[in-house]
Amino acid sequence: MLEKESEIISEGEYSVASISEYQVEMCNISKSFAGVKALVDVTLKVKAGEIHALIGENGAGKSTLMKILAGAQPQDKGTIKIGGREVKIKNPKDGLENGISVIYQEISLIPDVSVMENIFLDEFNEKKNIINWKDLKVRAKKYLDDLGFGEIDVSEKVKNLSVAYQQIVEICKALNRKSTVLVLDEPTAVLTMKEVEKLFELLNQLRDEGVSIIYISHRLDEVFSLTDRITVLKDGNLVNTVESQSINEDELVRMMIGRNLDTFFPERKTSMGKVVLSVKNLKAGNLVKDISFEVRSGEVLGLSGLVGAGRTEAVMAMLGIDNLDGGIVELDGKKIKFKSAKDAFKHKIGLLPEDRKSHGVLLNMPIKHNITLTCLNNFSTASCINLKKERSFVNQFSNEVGIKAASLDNNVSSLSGGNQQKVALAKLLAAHSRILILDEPTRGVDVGSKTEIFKLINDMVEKKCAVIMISSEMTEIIGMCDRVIVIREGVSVGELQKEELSEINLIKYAMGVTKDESKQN
Amino acid sequence: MNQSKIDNNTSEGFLGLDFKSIGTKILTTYYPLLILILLLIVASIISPIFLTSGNLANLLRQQVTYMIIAIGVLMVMLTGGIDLSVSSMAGISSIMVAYSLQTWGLGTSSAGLLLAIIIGIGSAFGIGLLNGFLVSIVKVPAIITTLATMMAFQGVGFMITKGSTILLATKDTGNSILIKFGEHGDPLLGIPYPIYVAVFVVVLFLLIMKYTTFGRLLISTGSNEAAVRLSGINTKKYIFWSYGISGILSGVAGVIITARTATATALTASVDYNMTTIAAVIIGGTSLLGGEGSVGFTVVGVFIIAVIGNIMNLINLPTYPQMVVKAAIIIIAVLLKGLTSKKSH
Ligand SMILES: Nc1ncnc2c1ncn2[C@@H]1O[C@H](COP(=O)(O)OP(=O)(O)OP(=O)(O)O)[C@@H](O)[C@H]1O
Ligand SMILES: [Mg+2]
Repeated sequence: MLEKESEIISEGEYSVASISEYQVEMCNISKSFAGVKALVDVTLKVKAGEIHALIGENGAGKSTLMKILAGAQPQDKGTIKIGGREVKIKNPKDGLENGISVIYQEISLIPDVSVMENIFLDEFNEKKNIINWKDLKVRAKKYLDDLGFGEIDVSEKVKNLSVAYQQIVEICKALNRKSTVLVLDEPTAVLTMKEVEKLFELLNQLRDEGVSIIYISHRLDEVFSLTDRITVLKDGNLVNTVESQSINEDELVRMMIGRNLDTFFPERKTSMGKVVLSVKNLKAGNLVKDISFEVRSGEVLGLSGLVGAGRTEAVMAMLGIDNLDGGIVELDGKKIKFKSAKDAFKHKIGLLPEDRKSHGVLLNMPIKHNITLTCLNNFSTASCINLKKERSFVNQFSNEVGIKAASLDNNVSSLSGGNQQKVALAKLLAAHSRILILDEPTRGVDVGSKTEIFKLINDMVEKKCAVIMISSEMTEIIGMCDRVIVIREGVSVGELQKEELSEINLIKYAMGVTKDESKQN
Repeated sequence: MNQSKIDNNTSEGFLGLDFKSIGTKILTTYYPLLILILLLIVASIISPIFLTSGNLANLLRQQVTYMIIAIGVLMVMLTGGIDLSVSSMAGISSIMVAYSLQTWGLGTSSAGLLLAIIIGIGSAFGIGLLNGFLVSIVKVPAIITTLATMMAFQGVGFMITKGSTILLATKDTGNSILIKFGEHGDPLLGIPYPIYVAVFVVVLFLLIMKYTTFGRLLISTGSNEAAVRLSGINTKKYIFWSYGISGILSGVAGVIITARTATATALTASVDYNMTTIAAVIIGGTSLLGGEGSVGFTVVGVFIIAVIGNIMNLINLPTYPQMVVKAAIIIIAVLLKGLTSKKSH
């Protein structure tokens, strides 16, 4: 291990200064945005050949710290050393030249361009003028295969991929840079266990090759299983850096949120009513082949499965947002065909889309206007908005959902990723639908806030709301759902009752290990 | 929740204010106003005539039509679209008013005048709705749609007038009311009536944008159409009506044009309404991508262009160099917008 480490370093251009124990040293970094202190005197040191976790609540400053490292944002104060040598990173190009590669929390691919072009975008910039398409195709395919995503078509436009697949493309793009420092800002927020395993294999391999990896995640189990050391931030301040081995989950949570978290999944009084929504033999596009499920009022139904199984696509087609090629949708026992999201909302069915940035929030609009988008009529008489009522509602509701913002008049784009997710969720919950479809509801949300969000969902359920929850996080599915439908390759392959819910069972079904339970009808 | 808000006291400095950030905020949001003030100062230094009431009144009167049309263009641009047909719509409205007064004989009574105005505005409105239909339902790109209607209705204008000018007979009751409306001021303050119309339109749309669900959802649609649609809102409706509004307001401007000149000609369609109003909207800080922009700053944008034109007139710059200068200013304004919005990130 040590041998390899020195090998890599002496290969790099920083060999002279490589006496330092640390590959990355960010010292006393401070940064504020329009009066909000995002970072105060934060120091982060990462060794070569180390996977270093960076964790903290939403808005703690994790992404900001990484943007500074990458040159996407300037720091107000503080110094950065790479391989022991002080460097000035003024823009993303400087960052890349210093061997720093970042996979940002918000996907930053070019939507109208193919997968392979996105992966090799950097090369176009620096090297040859003539593109060798054949070579690109082969190399892109290799990266995807290595990650276990051979099914992604390298010539497909990125905008046609699901968020999870886009994330995979981002990862390939970063891997291609052969960086010495690799930052991953919540790469697994939309990936399921199976894909995460593959990714971790790869990261471990990179670590063994001497790459410094900084890993941001709100999934604490990952943090423990993957990383060597952990740095915790809270409200822009450094709490501590500890060895992953030397700490347990409870202690870590306390460091993060400053209190104990007794119940992660809050209790819910269940009293289920009639079936409100059911779909049979849903067919849509080439991802949804034969999906059936039903949900009752007062019930949380989980849709589980691997990435690309067709969960998102199924609900999109069910709601008439995407084309529905076949199957029956019934609302309150009556056959129905939704024409659009508007039609579905009219029937009091609300959707929290998977893709936060392009479908969930209006980034350039104030937070308060985002939240009231779906419920403007509640404060309006004859189309005139009562701004006072609106404001008091927003103040109260954003508190309930736990949105952490300097001012609710600010644009959503100024919020941290997790807080943006809370805005998207608040917008949906404010509509008071009777059926809620939540696609990755807690994507990027910190542990403390997750519990708050689960409470809100439970409130809705206790008010007889029916909830369909798609989640890549198995613990969340197990903790929250009354019943789970497992979907594999576009087909609903199994149904698990609350008592049967366990990771083993979910994986078994998702990967098709059990053969006895065939398609349910 | 223990972490609901970051208090303002996290910032240091005098009275807890962060001057640097306040400075950037003023610069990024109010820069059109700063430019206008700067221009006013420059203008009054360059020419002693500038600040005379005569010149200012003239300036204001000239901007009435631009202001009204620009508000319509703003509505379209807020949804992320563009309307290149405003000059044609204003031209058609102007022609239809004159044509129905003169050729159809509606000019003989005040009721006839009312009808003529409705016909004029109505025809422009119709074109606007056609634009709206093509853009929102048929999904023809806005730039193509409105370029096509611009050309088509410029042609229609020539077809109706057969290339000549329609003169309003001043003796007819309806006509004289219209002409009086265009030329004279009110007896109380002496302010020309068209200015009241412009002020009314501006205030109306300020209120619409701030207080109505329509205004809120229109700008939201421009900000992120997909997200708004997935929130169960019919975004097509707002896109459609923004073009309708642009049609109505161009139509209103057309009526004022006829009233002011007591004539109507197909040449109105080739007046610089398109370029100037779009430029004004952009100078007023509106994003070409939609979702960002305001009525107040659009008015400021109109006056920025007007004052520049006025200065150039006062120093006797010929028309053609004026065009070059105006074009340069549009480019600078867009650059400035890019610069300031980058700073805010
Ligand atoms: N462009 C910006 N303008 C204003 N404030 C910003 C901007 N970017 C970040 N902030 C603020 O800086 C703080 C830190 O944000 P950051 O995105 O680093 O949080 P984070 O730790 O990554 O959170 P999350 O877990 O939600 O992703 C937050 O309070 C956020 O609102
Ligand atoms: Mg973040």
